[in-house]
Amino acid sequence: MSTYQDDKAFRAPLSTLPSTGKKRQDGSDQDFNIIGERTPLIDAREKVLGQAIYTDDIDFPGMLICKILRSPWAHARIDSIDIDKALALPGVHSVMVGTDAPIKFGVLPISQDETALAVDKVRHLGEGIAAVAAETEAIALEALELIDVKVTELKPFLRKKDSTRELREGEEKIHEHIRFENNIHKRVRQSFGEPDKAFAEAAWTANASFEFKGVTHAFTEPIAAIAHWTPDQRLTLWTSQQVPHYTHLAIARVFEMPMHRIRVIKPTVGGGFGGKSDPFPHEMVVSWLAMDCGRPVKMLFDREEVFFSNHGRHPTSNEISMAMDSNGKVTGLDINATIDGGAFGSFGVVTSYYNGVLSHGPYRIPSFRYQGTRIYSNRPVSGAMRGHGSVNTRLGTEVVLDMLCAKAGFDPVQVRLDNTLSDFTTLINGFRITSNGIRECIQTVAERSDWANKHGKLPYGRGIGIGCGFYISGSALQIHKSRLPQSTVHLKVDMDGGVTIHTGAADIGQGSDTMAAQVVAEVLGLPMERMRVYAVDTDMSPIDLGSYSSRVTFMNGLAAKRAAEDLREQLIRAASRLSGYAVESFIMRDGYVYNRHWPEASVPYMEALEEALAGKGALATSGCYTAPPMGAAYKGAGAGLSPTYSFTSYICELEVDPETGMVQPLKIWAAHDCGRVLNPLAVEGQIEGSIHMGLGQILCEEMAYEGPNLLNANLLDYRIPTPSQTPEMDVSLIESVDPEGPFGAKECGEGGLAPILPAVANGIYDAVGVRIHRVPMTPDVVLTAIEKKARKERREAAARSA
Amino acid sequence: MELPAFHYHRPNSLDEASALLARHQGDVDLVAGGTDLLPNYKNRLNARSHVISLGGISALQGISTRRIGAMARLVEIERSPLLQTRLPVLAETASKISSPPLRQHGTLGGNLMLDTRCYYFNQSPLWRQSVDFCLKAEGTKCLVVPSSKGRCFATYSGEMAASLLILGAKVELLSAAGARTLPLAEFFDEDGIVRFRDRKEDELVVAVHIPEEAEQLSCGYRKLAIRDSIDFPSLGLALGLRINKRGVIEDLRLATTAMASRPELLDEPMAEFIGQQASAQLAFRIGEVAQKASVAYRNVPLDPKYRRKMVAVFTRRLLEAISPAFAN
Repeated sequence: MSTYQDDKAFRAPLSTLPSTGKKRQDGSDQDFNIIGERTPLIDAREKVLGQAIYTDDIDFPGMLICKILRSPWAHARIDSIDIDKALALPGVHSVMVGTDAPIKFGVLPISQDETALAVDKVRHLGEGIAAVAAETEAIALEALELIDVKVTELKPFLRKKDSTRELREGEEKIHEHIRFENNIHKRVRQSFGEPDKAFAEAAWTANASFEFKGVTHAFTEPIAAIAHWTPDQRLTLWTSQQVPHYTHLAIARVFEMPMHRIRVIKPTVGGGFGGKSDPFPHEMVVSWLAMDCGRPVKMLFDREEVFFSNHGRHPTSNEISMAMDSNGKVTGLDINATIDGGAFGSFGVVTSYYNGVLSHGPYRIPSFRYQGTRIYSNRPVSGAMRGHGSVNTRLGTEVVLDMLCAKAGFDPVQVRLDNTLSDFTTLINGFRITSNGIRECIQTVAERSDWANKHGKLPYGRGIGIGCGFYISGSALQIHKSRLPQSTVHLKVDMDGGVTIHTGAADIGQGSDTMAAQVVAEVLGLPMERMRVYAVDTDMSPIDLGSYSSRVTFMNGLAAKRAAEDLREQLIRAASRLSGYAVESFIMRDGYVYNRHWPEASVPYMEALEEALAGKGALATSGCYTAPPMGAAYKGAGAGLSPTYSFTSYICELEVDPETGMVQPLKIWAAHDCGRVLNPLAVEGQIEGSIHMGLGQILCEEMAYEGPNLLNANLLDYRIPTPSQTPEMDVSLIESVDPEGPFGAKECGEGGLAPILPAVANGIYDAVGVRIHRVPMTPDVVLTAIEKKARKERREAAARSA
Repeated sequence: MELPAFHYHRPNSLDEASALLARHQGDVDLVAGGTDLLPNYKNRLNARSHVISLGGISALQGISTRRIGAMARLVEIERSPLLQTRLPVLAETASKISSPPLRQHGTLGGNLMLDTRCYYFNQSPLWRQSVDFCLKAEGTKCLVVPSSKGRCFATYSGEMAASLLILGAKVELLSAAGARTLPLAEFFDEDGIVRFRDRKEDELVVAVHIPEEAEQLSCGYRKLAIRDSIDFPSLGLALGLRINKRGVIEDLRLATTAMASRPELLDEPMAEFIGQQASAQLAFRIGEVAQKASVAYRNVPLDPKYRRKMVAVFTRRLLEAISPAFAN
């Protein structure tokens, strides 16, 4: 026996191994330990107790406060910036301007168009022009008022049609690098099959246009960062980030510094939803100021600054046409979308593709055409937001499909069932579909909502609608071409018997730390309390590309699983040496290296570990994930390509007050295929959160602009639905069990957003017979549509009687 | 965001408060809950050097059917069994203001004296600088009605006022010069900056008084807002009705808030309906008249035309809810 004391249970000789008694819902005989259990997030307790350390909770001796002077102009040439008076103010340690760090950066290698602060010109109201590091916030604010900026104002571009047209006399385009004499950032044109023929030969066609206001993430924790130029001549950055690795790369680029001299740490993050998934100007600003002052510098945004940072969903105009044959089979889809990218590139090139390519499912579309245009405008940048690029087109396609059903007299549920993709198939654009539970999703919500007895049969003012969707589970192609894996996890076990998980995956509240712990605990047959996760400190954790594109459970989960399997193998070899039985007879479960054939030859975990450590010391293993080659070869074929896809179907029953236009969702039935459910508690939370966020976009959230000014840059006037507006949700999880995902798991964080929009829109039609073409569908807009319909009906009645 | 620096006073008596108010005249604000004042201060909206808290003055407390102290908290009004039975419209209105946590702090006086709101006013200093400021703070022109000739169109959003107006409430004011009481209907000014007619700079609201006959009215309050909690109203409508057994209207009072720069008591437009026989048709007609008598501006959420339409809908629905005689 070891001289070290440890929990007796993990050293006890085996008498009888208790069965867990847990059998999977899918009927398989796989007997899981922790997978599939309702597992509270491992950081839930510290968050609830107020003990979690967010970036703003971190303080250092001598730390300075940074404030940014922001532009009151939407588009202007900077003539001069006088910082002398600000520098002279007692308590001010440094003042930075754009030319101090002029190298451009951006999340995509093809869109490196942002700088730390404006250089030469400002491109949106709220863009940073200068920054101050001072001893207190009050001094920093006072210093900002002492900075004198002289500009020549330029005509701002604020409407999509102004950005798509040729420049006129006296106008200056927003970026010099724009290829033509306009403000178009990216055009995408794709065509598959024979769309013209499909529409010409269709039995039924429908077409509709939609206008979408921009929405933003409205995460709880405002953006924050601290930079420290430490005495060892290295830069450390604590930052509220979803993609610390990309920040790491961007800082190295901007400051022309080798990566090993930069350390990026992600503290607890209070939500991101895509709004913290770019390298940011303020990260460059605090870094420069910290290097200039040799003291730690902190930046905490107020809410208005968060709105200026935005990176939210692109304001969109789209037009959708769909063709159907007489049997109700969809034969063609034509999408035209113009999206407003704001002042910079961000993820916009990807968004430009996603607005089209993420409409290739969940139905079989034999002919498809897409034209997408992303424009620059003098507004805060648009970027990635939960359901990135898929949401606005999804609303359009699902509503137009509903219009076809109404025209042809088909049931919307049946038509969707008749058109679903099968599993294990390839789409016309080269997407590889593997596991697919869409049919079961649709059938589940239809049955649970009693659709057959409700659709078209509810009294006026009450309605029911359906929406479906699918989403990527991680992007198969990397943003930066690289031979490195997309995710890597390291494990370390020493004589204390705890398992340390080093991961670069950024837990932003979605629970990826818990996911990694569960996966490792499952493989090793150990309880969760032995797991400890050390996430995202670039000095210590291996690289993960970040929390975006719904990639973490799939990719980081597989990396964690493989690292754990390596560790398991070492422990099994040790048990085999101790017991004399062949390695093949051992598995790990319930704290034992367990001998399946001779249970009495099982070895307690701690004994196997001691043997494995002998003469060697701590065990360290590593696992990684690289997406296999897939997809077609045409330009843009990589956009939307994923190792697997999630599938979703929602039904919403709602009430419309025909006199006020108020829409109240009454109940939502949700079914989401996320493959194997690793943690039902977390998955249900993601689905409910997605529904809530989608309800916000469809019913009340919008970034309301007047000219260049955002009218509602605060959480009072930017109206997120309250709990009392959020209806009961009936969430079913459909486990298609993916052949490649960790234990068969797929994504659940983003795909669940889009389908709620059309479920509501189609429900409104069922309730009061109007199609609304503006999102959000606020009560004034809904009422106008109802009144218009009533007037039309009166006119028609009058014409008939005349 | 940090609050600007100010001198904070917390007097324990009305006399003391009155004296402080007189001493710092022109550079002083009263805080009676702070749920609106402090966010405005953070945005540097007409912040003053002196802030007097009224929280320590017991004379401003108290709830009865005839008098409600200015510092009665909204949650107390909402939950008062006395008001719930005798003047339920006050409890109902209070229950719809903002959110439960803010009603713990917000007071009757604070809600009554709420500063007017506007898209061009309730913004950060940077935002306001970008539009060269507005009449109500640091600027020279109204951005809602550019032809306003110096008048401010910011919207009054206090909700208690609408209900108090239909009850015929009076407001009791105190200054160093003494106390006075005037009808609430004469208290407010149509200008979003002036806000109160003839209010002396050193005057504070002590209480509102409600006449006994108010209890004879059957009342209701409806609020228009996109969300059912937190939001300021885009319209608040209070209606009071006395109707006899034969269905003849004996008294009809209607007041709106969140439409213009002051709460509006639509007494003249309603006068024609006194003595008329209630019917569904008449409810519709009353709604139409109320809509016609209302104005709204594009400076708070929801389209002004829509908000005016809702005046008609809310009026009719309240009439129907209060008396079955309007339902058929």
